[in-house]
Order: sequence, then C-alpha cells, then structure tokens
Amino acid sequence: MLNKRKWILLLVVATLALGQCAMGAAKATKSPYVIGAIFSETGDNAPLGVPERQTVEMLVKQINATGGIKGHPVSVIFRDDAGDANQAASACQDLLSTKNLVAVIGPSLTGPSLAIKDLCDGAKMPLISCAASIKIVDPVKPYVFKTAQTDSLAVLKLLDYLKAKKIKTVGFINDSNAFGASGRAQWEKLATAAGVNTVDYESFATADADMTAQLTKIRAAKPQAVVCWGTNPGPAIVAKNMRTLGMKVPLFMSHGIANMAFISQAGKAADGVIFPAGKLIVAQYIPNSDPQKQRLVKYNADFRKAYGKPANTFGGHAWDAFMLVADSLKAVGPDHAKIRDHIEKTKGFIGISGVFNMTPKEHNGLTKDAFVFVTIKNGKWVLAK
Amino acid sequence: MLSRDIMEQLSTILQLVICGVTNGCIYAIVGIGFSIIYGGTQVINFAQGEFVMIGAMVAAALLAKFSLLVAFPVAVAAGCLVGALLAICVLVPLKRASVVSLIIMTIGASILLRGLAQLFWGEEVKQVPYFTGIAADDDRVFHVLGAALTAQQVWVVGITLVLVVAMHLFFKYTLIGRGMRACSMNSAGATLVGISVRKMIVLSFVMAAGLGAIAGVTVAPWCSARCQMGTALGLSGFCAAVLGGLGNFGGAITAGLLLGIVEALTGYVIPAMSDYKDAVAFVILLIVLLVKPEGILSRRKATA
Repeated sequence: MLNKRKWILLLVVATLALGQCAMGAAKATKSPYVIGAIFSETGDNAPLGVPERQTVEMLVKQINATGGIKGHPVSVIFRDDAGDANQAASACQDLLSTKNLVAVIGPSLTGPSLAIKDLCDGAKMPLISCAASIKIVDPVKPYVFKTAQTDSLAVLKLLDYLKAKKIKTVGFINDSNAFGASGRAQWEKLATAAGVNTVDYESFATADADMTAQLTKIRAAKPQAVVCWGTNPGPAIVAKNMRTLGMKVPLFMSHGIANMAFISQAGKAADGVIFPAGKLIVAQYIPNSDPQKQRLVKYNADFRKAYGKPANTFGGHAWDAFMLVADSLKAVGPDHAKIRDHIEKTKGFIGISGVFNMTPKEHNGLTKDAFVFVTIKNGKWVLAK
Repeated sequence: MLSRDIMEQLSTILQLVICGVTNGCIYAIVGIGFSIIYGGTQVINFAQGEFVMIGAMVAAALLAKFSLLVAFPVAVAAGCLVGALLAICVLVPLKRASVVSLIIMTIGASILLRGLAQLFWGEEVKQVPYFTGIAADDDRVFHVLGAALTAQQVWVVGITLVLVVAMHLFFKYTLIGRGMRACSMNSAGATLVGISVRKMIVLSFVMAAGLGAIAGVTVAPWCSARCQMGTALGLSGFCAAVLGGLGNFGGAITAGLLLGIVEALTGYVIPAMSDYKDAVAFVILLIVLLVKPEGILSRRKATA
C-alpha cells in the first residue's frame, strides 16, 4: 500500500517539476534589459515621485505584454531618494554597481539630480533626469540628459506673459531648495533685461509652515504682482498666506506646482494662480492640430485606467525619460555609448513634456513652446488668457 | 498723525509680532512639556515635538469624518497614550541607566514615532479644517491696525492662555500637582513621605504628551499637519525651555513667546536670514548659555 502511494506521489512531483521546467524553458528567451530609476517616492515631494514610478511601472507592463523590446523583457530597479541628495547619491552608487544596467532615469528633483550627474557621467552611464534646473544640462555632460522643461524656459515664458500684461514690478519669493534657488538665479539673470523690475526678493525654507513675515515685506514694497518659485508645500502656503493678508495682486508661480497636491493644500487660495505648465494638465483644451494632443490623451487615459486618477505632469517627465531609453534600446541595443549617441540625436520626439530635439549642446531639447499658461478656477486647471 | 510710511512699518511689525506670538505659544507649550518631564526625571525628552505631531495627525485623520468635539479629545488621548508608553520605556531601565542613555532613548523614540506616522498616515501634508472658519478651508480674518489676524491664531493664543492658567493652578493647589513638584525637588524625600515616584513620572510624561497634543490639534489648521512637523517644533521648544531655565514654567512661557517674536522679526530686520528663521532659536540659545548657563529666568545655579 505504502509503496503504491509513494510512487503516485513521486509521479505527481515529477510531473510538476517537468511542467515547471517546460514553462521555464519557454520563458527563457532573451536576457532582460535592466533600467535603474531613482524617484522621490517619500518625503514632501512624493506627489512628484509616486506618479513617476507609477508611469514607469505602467509602461514596463505595456512593453512586456507585447514581448518586450525585440524579445528582451524590460525590468526596472526602483530606488527612493526621499527628496534627499545624499540618499540619491548612495542609491546611484548601488545602481551603478548593478550588472547589465543600461541606463538610469530620474531623479525627480533638482538637488538629487545635481548630486548624481557627475557619478553617472564618470561611469559612462546614461542618465535622464526628470528635474527642471538648467544646471543639470549646463554645462553639458555627455551622458546626462533631462526631460523636464528647463526652469530658464519657464522664467522666459513667464516674463513674456508679464510683459504682455504690462506688469513692470514684482516681488519674488522662492523656496531655498535647489529648484527654487535655480529659478531665482535664472530670474535675476533674465528679468531686468525683459523690463521687469523686482522690488523685493524673499525666500523660505522648504519646511517652513508660515510665510506671512516674508509676504508682509513684499506687500510693503508694493509690487504689481508676486512671483513664487518652489515645489511642495511652500507655494501652497504662500498662496494661503497672501489670501489671509488680503493681498489682491496677481500671483504667478512656476511649473513646480503643476500637481494636484498644490490645489488640495491651498484650497480656495489656489484659485487665480497663474503658472506656465506642460500641456498635459490641460490636454482637453489643446487643439487637435497640436502634434502632442494624441499622445497626451492616450497617456491620460492609460494612467487613469491603471491607477484610477488623472495623469500628472511629473509622471509625464518619467514617461519621456523611459521612452527615450526604450526607443534607444530598440534602435541600437544595450550599449551605453550607443544609447547616449542615439538620445543625443533625438529629433521630433513627441513626448508628454513637449516635442524633443536634442543636439550635442542641448541635452533637454525643449523650447518655450513646451509650455502653455494655466490658471486654476474652482480647483480645476484651465488655460489662462 | 504719523506719516504713511511709519504707519505701514508699524503695521508690518505688528503683523510679524502676531505671527511670532502664535508660533511662540506653541514653543511655550512644548517648552512646558520639556520642563515637566525634566522636573520629574532629569530626562530631556526629545520626542516632545512628536507629541505635537501626533495630536495634529490624529486630528487630521479624524476631522475628515467626525466633528471637532470628538476629534479633539481623541487626539489628545492618543498623545497621552503614547506619552504613557514612552514613560514605561523610560521607567524600566531608570534605576540602572544613566540620564544620557535615557535621553538618547527619547531621540530614538522620536525617530520611531516619525517613521510609524509616515507608515500609517503617509508623507503628504494634511489639511486640517479651521475650528471656526467660514468654510473648512477658509478662515475668518480680522484686520487690526493694518495687520491680519486669523481666527485660528486667536484659538492658539486663547488655548495657550487656558493651559498656562490650568497648569499654574494644578501645580500650586492640587495634591497631585504638589506631589509632582515634590518629586522634582527631591525624589528620595518624596518617596519617604509616601509619594509614588514611578506614578509621578508616568503622570509627567502623560501630561507633557497631552499638552503637546493639544498644541498640535490647535496649530494644525494654521500650519498643516505633516509627519516631519515635530522636529523643528521640538527643537525650538527645547530652546525655549532651556532659555527660560529647565524646570521653570514661567521661564519656558516667556522664552517661548520671545523666541517666536524674535524669529519673526529677524527675517524683517536681516533680509538674508528669512529662510534661516529656525536657526535663530539656536543662535540665541548659544549666546544666552555662554552668558548665563542656567537660563535667563532661572533662579537656580546651573548643574553639569
């Protein structure tokens, strides 16, 4: 009796084992392409990093469902830098020591990006950052690219708008983090030349909970408008404080607030804020003739289907970074130098952040046209006039 | 009639003082918390700021579904519970551990609490409805001599006043209060007259936590609730406690208010310092400790 049971058991196990081998053999196609991704998934800027990660996960699923890139499945190693430059640097070191890594995308923020750009360039690893500061690609490092619109472009676009509205004096307040400081540096360089006089400069620390003191000083200088440059959560507090103080002058901000966290944090104070942003958040208002329209609508629909909420500008930067790498892998395979060369030759790449045209001197590839002006009305984004 | 410019400068300064006093009240409450625990155990509880954070985060979570009347006491109770747990952790090794080890343990506790809060509630900034606002996200604003005063700020100052008076009465006239004071003066003597020092220690943690949580709930609508809010508040409150003399409540309150006002005015007087406001507390602390190590208002000599 026992013998018979033992044989049946052995038979079952053997069948299962063989079955696994067969499945394994069928799956053992080509070696996977491994991409590293560093995003700010926790910390104050999680509203940037989480959609970035979700976008990449969604794209990986889509690509692998159709057999990968030329038969190679794609996998991504995600690392969280929590918005901290040091954590980004150590995450980068980890990734660089991973075998067969083809490229690194991210980080989400300027500070971490600046911290790792030399590491990646030195290791000849293609890096496609999703952060905004011009300093990431100026001076140009051969292996470092970025997909988010450069802050100098945002400043120029905003200055154009101010000139058109005949606003000649502004008060400027910025977050003292790398993004805000970079925006301010660009503003200081470009504003006076554009005929806009900054009557007062103020700044706040990222973790500050109240900017009334700084705004009171700006109010005393009587500017025609206030410009605030930062990511989360400072600008929302600036908007609320201005409302409390009863300051009625128009409030302009940067593309750093193009996410729902700003609106939910600022509440009523968000209404009327004007800022340059990528076309994604007002995709439904973009004319059909715009080359980006279809891609924006599809990304929005896919993201909504996968995660139940609308797509987000920052997720869009990750979309662009990932797809640039994916396209390069398809065209030239996993060699670092070849990927770098291919990305540098990008022309007319229709991304979410804009249409990219890269050159050896231009590693962002976007122009002012990547921006439109958006304002918030009743908690929703609309095109500003 | 004063000239327009001077009027404007005065209202600017008034505005800054209003902000400063609001922040100062929170520093004062946190400072009192430090003093209470220090008095009972000689331990500096670096998790004090986290009690404020717990009050704020629990309130933020509850106010989404319940009214203030329910959320407030529950948030404070949550803070007290955490305080009691921390007290037990400190009490267990109290006899054989040095004060320094216990202080380091409170630092560990603060990191743990922050991490748990982030795990539990997420890392985003949470909006908390105003107590008496026109709407949940729109507060009433009063204009006083050209400066803006929000209703929530009035709440912060009002509740601080109530707490200060309550603490004064508690420590002066109730038996338990006097027992706690006895413990802080001489724990061996207190034991001799039948006061349970262990009970007093747990009580001092629970009180400090409760005070912190009340501060947290009240200040949350004004400055938003986030997991990291306790760090800066705790350190500024610590500065207030030390400046006023550790263990000296009146000192903690005065120092807290002064600190808040000086912080706010520093950004005005020295423009480059506006994003270093937090550092002001430490600069002042350094200067004062060099000159008078036992604190400005302390009547005791400094101990090592």
